[in-house]
Amino acid sequence: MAPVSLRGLGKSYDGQEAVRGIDLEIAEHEFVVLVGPSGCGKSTTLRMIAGLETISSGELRIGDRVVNALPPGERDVAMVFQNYALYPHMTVGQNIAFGLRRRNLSRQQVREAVADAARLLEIEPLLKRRPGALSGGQRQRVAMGRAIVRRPKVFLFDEPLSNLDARLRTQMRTEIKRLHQEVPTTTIYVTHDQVEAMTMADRVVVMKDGAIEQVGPPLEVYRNPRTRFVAEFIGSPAMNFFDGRLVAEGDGLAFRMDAGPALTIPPERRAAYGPIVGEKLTLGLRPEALAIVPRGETPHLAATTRLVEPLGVETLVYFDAPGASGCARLSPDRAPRAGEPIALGLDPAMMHLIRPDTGAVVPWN
Amino acid sequence: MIEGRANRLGNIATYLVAIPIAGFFLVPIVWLVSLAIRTPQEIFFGASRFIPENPTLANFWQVLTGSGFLTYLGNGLKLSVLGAFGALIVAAPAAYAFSRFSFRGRGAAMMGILAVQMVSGLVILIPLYRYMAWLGLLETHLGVTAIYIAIGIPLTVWLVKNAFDAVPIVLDEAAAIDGYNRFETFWRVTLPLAAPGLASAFILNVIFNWSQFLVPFIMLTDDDQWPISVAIYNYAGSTTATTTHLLAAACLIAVVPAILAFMLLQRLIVSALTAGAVKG
Ligand SMILES: Nc1ncnc2c1ncn2[C@@H]1O[C@H](COP(=O)(O)OP(=O)(O)O)[C@@H](O)[C@H]1O
Ligand SMILES: [Mg+2]
Repeated sequence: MAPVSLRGLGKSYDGQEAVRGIDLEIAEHEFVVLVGPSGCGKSTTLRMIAGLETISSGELRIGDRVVNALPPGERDVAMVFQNYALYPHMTVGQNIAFGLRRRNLSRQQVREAVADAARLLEIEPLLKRRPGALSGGQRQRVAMGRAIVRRPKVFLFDEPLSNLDARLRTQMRTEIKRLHQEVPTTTIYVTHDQVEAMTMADRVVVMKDGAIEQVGPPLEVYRNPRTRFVAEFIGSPAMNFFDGRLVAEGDGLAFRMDAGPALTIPPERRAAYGPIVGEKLTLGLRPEALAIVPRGETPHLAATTRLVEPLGVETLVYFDAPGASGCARLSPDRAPRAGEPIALGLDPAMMHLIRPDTGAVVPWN
Repeated sequence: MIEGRANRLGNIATYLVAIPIAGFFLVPIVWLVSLAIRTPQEIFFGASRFIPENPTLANFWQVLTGSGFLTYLGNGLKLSVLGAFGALIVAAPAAYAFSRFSFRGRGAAMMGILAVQMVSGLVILIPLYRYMAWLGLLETHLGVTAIYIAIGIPLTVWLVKNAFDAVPIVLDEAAAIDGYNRFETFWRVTLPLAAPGLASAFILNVIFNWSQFLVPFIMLTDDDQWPISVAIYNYAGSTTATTTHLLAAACLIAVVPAILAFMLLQRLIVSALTAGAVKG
């Protein structure tokens, strides 16, 4: 187990930058999730850490060693691949033992290590089988067994759950977290699924176009996204956006939507927002910042219900409003029917103001 | 409905093409069988008595026990197998490089190798003979084997490259992370997984070498060294119609190993297809 440090890490293919300027300090035992849309450079970053891709620029440290030039086998990392990459001609037991053969262990030690890993992952009955005779979930476990058995300094996961069905995916998610608690190895986990990122990470690293967009604990990133991209990518359903302008209102401030009500800015944000009065901005509100209010009361957004999705504990209401459409997260007993006109109150305490040109969220706290 | 009819039409078309082709190849073999089981007297009936009245296996027995036939079979087998083995050994590293490394001119080199394949052996026969004479390899099995290897390399490189391509690179990567260097990975992962493909290439080479005539014919004059193909040719040239039945039997025996090899090959190809890849 060791800390991992990425300093200005970059990768170019034929002059094309796939990843650039990645700065990231990962603490010992930490579980870090790289998340972002497909093609944003997550796998490339992970593969540079593994040693499967050469590093074009920057420095990579594992523990206190710079490992830029070390081959994968000498970096003491273990990796779980998306399609598991089990050796089809070996039994499960041989697959798990394969990485131990290099380590000058006695036969007895290898056997014990394999048995331990198999017990931890509950795959003991499978040890004599070939990967071809296993289900997707079982292969996933074997792949993890192969990683765990070596007790590496760092675990690397590249979208390990994306070939599983939804139920198994949820189950394996908790399983991986449980394993991390039992064997707290430094872990770097890549996924495009923000739910996986939110639920598993100690810290999430949101990536976009080959660079880091934001780093932080899941809730912190959820509550204080620094860019519109992060605001939109993290959280499901996605944040709602309304165009408008920040204006002075009496001795306070208000956000006046282009098509909709004006929203009074909470007093604690006045100082921060003061310098941008008069500018065109985008208002960001998560679905839970919207609620149904009695018509005629306070400023509200008049909308029409398009689609209602009851999820049990909550109901998602997709609506169309003048100039915008979005989604509100409502309590099931307050939910309207599809086609019904509704009045939506907006909670200014949960608002984000975004500069439309740069996509940056205006900081206030 | 419509699809069913189209299917049936497709089947009919397939048979219309396949039956003449099969006939084309089967007629001489059937004729050979007919001749091989005749007594010397019945040979003179020619095609008029297709199924002999007194069929006999004695011809086969006479050929197998007679003058040096087993030696010829043995020579043929030795040359074929050594040539195939050599071609595989020489082609495998090239195929691995083509499959796993990217380098400038890779595609051109692959095409170049294929182009060599298209040069007819006849065209280079005389220079090849002089070259072999210069090397002092005339009248030797070593020389014949070397030529077999050279002839077999292009196709073998392509076949073996395909076999390596079918082994997912992610397995190489997993092995690299597990601490194995490239050669160990090749030896323990890539090679075993490509084995069915390599075996197919090997057998195909054996079959081609087995049916080689020209190369051993010009290279070997000592009849102790002849493979079966050359021996039969000389046998046919030195005998009269009174031994046609024996010649037919000898030809059939010479064809059998090739057919067996083909059947083995078919099995291998099927098992290679059903062996199951990484995902599945
Ligand atoms: N071998 C390669 N050659 C050229 N470009 C590549 C190669 N591998 C990845 N890329 C490019 O790098 C970018 C990042 O890819 P990747 O790291 O696989 O994204 P992600 O894993 O986030 O989906 C993509 O634009 C992709 O096209
Ligand atoms: Mg990826």
